[in-house]
Amino acid sequence: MQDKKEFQRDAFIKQVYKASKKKKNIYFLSADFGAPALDDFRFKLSKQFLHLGICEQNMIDFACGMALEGKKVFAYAMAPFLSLRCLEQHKTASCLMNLDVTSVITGIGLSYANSGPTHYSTEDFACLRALPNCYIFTASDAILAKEIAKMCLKIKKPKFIRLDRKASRNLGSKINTKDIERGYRYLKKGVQNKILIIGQGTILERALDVINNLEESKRKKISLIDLFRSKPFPINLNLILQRYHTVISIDEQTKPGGFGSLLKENLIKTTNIVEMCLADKFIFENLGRDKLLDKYGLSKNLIKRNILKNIK
Amino acid sequence: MKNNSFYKKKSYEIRKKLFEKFYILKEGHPGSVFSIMDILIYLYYSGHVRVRNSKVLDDIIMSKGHATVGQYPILHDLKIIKNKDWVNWGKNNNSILKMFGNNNIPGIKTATGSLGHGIGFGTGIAYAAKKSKNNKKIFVIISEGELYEGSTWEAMMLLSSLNLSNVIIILDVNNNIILGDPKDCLPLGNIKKKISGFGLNVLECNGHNFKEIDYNFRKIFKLKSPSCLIVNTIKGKGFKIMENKANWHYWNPIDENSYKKILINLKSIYAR
Repeated sequence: MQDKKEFQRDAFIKQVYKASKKKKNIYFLSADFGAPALDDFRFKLSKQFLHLGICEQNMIDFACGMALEGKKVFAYAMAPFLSLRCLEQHKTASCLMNLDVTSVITGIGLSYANSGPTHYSTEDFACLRALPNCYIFTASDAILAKEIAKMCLKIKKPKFIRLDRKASRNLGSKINTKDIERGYRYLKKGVQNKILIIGQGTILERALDVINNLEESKRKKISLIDLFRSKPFPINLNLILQRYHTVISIDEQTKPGGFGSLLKENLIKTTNIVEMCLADKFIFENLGRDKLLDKYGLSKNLIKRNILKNIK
Repeated sequence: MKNNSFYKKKSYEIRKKLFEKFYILKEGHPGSVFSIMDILIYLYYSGHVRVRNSKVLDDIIMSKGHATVGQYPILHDLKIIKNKDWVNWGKNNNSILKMFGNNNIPGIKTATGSLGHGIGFGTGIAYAAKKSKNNKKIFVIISEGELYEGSTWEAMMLLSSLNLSNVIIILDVNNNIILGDPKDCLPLGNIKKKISGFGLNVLECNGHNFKEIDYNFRKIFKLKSPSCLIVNTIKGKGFKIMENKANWHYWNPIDENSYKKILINLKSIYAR
């Protein structure tokens, strides 16, 4: 199961499609962005699908208009454009009016590695989480993407769903109801509360690989949490974080306002936090995603070094 | 059509009612509000915006968002906004009414304020309404300043492509943005030609002449595709102190004497 690679977007859209066949008030909008699973929607449920042109700003305003009339709307486009280009629409329209609009933000982090800095989405998390009223979910694999879709069908508030571009391997075999409700899951649970690695998205693959390759005596001191619902921040997670000697945050975003900041805002007492993220700069090299991650702050070696430095 | 004296009487009453509030509140965007006031009066009192059992069935989207307060005295008059909310507005915090419109206020469909959102909202509402077989009309009021926003044109393109004839854009041309006449800032060019180039029917009239307004709306309702009515207006219409004055984009402090004189002057204009 763990070696099978699936696209998060297909898993997400398939679930929405399934629900849309029964519920005719669900609509799917695309700003010229596709997926194999979307073809079913486009051709078999064409009355519930609309191509809005490459107009992300208008797509969100339009979606909000539909939501005001009681429709449940999903808006889908490439991450940098569905987050920052229409940030003011998210603020003024969906969040301010607290509407049932789901923005399916696809290709976060360095997903579009060779398309240049315009296509990277390495600051969307900091920007979106500043908006009140919303939910933010980030999928680390396709199983989770499917579960997130199910949640979206129930939640009647603005939601930002952050998906990866690439097909990723499933990090956990299944997700239980308790995980879904609380907004995070353990991918590894150490027997001693020494080090906690916590993050979101497919970058967790790297952390999991590093932990799995450590010797048993070290491995048992490390836990790994996939915080897939970063907003609202899970109740009591701050108490769990404070049980650990060191917390290593990991996310494929730049530092300002990012995942490390989120943890610091929610901690009551000081815990040693090591922030792992991308360098705060524009990246121009065409090295491919893996090499860029290695070079700009998220290599497996660095994850390992941070673990070993803090393990007691 | 209701006779001209009815509309003239309403023009006076509603303006007076809101001006009194502005004076208490000492804030707001009176210039923008009073330029569109006659259009609002026409839409609500002509019956084109239908009200049944204290519910508004057709939507007005005030895209030039700070003019939303222009709807409040009318909605109060039509018993959509509760008397206690109207009376308390500006006196204490116990009122749902604010200087900025939002969808928690009875009769106000959307939260607006920043420019360039209204046509997108209206298009989404109209599309969803058609899907639900609701025959409501959606009147989107935009300012000429919003023609600078790219999202306005994105939305017009979609509106035209979906051919939503239940959407009527009302473009308030009062020749004033914050720094003066758009012609002296960044000229907007031939607005009529640009909008019709996006596939909309474009009509034009005097935004303070009820006969002309009525004539053009009746024409629009017969058309089978979306329309834009350009209304030529005077910023701050009805108040000599603010008419066509760029600095009256925002409220300016006035003393009690001036306040009384302005109200006397207002009465004399509409009593003619």
